[in-house]
Amino acid sequence: MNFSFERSASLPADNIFFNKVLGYFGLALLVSAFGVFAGFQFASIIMSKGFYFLAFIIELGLVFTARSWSQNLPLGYFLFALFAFISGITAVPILAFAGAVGGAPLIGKALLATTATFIAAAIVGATTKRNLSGLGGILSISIIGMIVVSLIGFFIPWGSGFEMLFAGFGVIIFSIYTAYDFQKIRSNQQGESALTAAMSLYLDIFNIFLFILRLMISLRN
Amino acid sequence: MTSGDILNFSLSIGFILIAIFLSITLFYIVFILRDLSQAVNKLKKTAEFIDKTIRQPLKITQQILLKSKFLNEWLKERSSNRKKS
Repeated sequence: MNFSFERSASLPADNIFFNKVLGYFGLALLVSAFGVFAGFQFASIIMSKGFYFLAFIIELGLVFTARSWSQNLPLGYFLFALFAFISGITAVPILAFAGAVGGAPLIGKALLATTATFIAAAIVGATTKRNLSGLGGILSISIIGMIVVSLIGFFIPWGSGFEMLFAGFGVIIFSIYTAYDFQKIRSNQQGESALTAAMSLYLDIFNIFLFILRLMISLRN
Repeated sequence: MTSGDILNFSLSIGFILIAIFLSITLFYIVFILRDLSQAVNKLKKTAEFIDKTIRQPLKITQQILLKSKFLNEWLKERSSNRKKS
């Protein structure tokens, strides 16, 4: 009797957190879409390396300091929206390049593939009985490896074969990350704030989209 | 007392000393292992904290690297298009 009471009392709290995170995540995607729109509108003003360098620094700064501002709520909402907006603006060259390579159908296909991959990973993460928390370290190490490879790639360009392999690996890693994050959010294990959790999901889906786009472009080459 | 007795006596004293030495060693090994276990636990907690803290910065760094690559390629293509026209 007591057990069933505890279950019914604890579940709604988890669900409220989960719904809150999904709500913030959805809003972040909307703000990003608005950022992309604004980016295309003012493309002639912002299309310079200097602007993007500044935007990347702001993005990095916001993510690095997320733990401190995500608890401070009126400010947290604004900074989270600002992050999503800047992410949207910095996605403009990606979409412009992808559009130049394969046109709107390529971007559409990449968006569809991203949505499908993200939903599948989310369902796996939210419903699986297996504990995925042990994967955290391996995933972080994998991303460090990918960052090192990406940095090397800036100086020593690689062929489309390796590009395809790298992008495929990225899609797999961030899909696992999505499942891992969803399980973490579903059980609300680490006492994270809803904004940080939403940011985590946002970064996952954005990375999946970028890697899928890279994969499709390298497949065309 | 024969020489055999002296040999047995010194052997027994030697065994006793070895036993005492091994007991002390065991005692310290237990202490060392206990400290090691505490250190490993602390290390694990620190590693978990670092992992939790750097997870999102790692994701955004990867994302920015990808975006920069796209930006470079796009700028190159734009400049080559301008040259052609």
